[in-house]
Amino acid sequence: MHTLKVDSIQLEYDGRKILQDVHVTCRQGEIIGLLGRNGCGKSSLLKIIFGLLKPTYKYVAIDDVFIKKGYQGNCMAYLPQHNYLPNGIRLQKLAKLVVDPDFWPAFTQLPIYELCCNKTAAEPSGGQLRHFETMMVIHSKADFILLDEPFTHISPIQAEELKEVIRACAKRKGIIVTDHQYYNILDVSDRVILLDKGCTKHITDNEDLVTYGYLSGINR
Amino acid sequence: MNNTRTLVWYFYRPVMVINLIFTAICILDLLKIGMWFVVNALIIKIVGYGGTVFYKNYFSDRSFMFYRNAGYSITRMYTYIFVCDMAVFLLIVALISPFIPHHAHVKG
Repeated sequence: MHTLKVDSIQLEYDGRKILQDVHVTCRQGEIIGLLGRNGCGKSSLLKIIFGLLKPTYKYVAIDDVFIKKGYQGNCMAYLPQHNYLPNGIRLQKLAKLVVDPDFWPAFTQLPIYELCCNKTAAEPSGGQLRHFETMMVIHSKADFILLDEPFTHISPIQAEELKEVIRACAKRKGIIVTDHQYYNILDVSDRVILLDKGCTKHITDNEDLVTYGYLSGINR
Repeated sequence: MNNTRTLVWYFYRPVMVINLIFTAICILDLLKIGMWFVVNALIIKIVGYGGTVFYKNYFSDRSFMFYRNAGYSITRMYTYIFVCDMAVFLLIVALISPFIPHHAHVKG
């Protein structure tokens, strides 16, 4: 079992500190939910971990080995907020290059695969393509998966299916997931971390989200 | 290795026409002007690579995430396609070298 450790991240824009005291640890087999208000730096944090964004300081390591670019060597896979598949190539061919061969049978059983496998990225609807891309990333060869708003643009039924797939894949992978649909995050995560004023707050009780001012109340 | 070849092909495909145009310009100039033009031809090819980087970064940078999720950096992908393209160009030059004038063409 590998452990991803993210420590002492510092990110500044024009002298304004966006992230300053960020500590996240994720083991394989664990789902970490990342919550926070708009502009608090959730996406920036995922980009820093993946190696797309250069912060003032960072320490990202897997099993205490420093990782400069998370994507090199298939250590991590990242679902960005935008569509990312190249156009003009059938989705089945693209998926074969990213999906872990061990997961391929399970991946091809997914309804979204059967729906989209013979299409190119321009053909499915935005929601279908988003769902396909999310499934590709979750079933990739990487040990750690970073999901930036996977529940956005998909229907409630697809969200339920996605949560099942995330739970199934988390048996072998470490997953960090962020979204504004906090109820889906609370439902699927083993641990929840709140990004507040650039710092990580480890949530032990959902009431803490009210205490820190992220939610006005919890619906039971 | 098969995956690498396929990924390189997918990465190269959208910019293949641009690079073929630059290759054709260089080959035609070499046939017309002579072998002494080869350094200029290489400079034209490098300008073509600059155009390729601009085109891809401007029009298809969103798809870069696909290659990263496959475990490859974008610098690595550019290196692969430019090395392959240059190798093909040099091979074509070697094949047509008997037809390239080896002395400067002087008018009059």
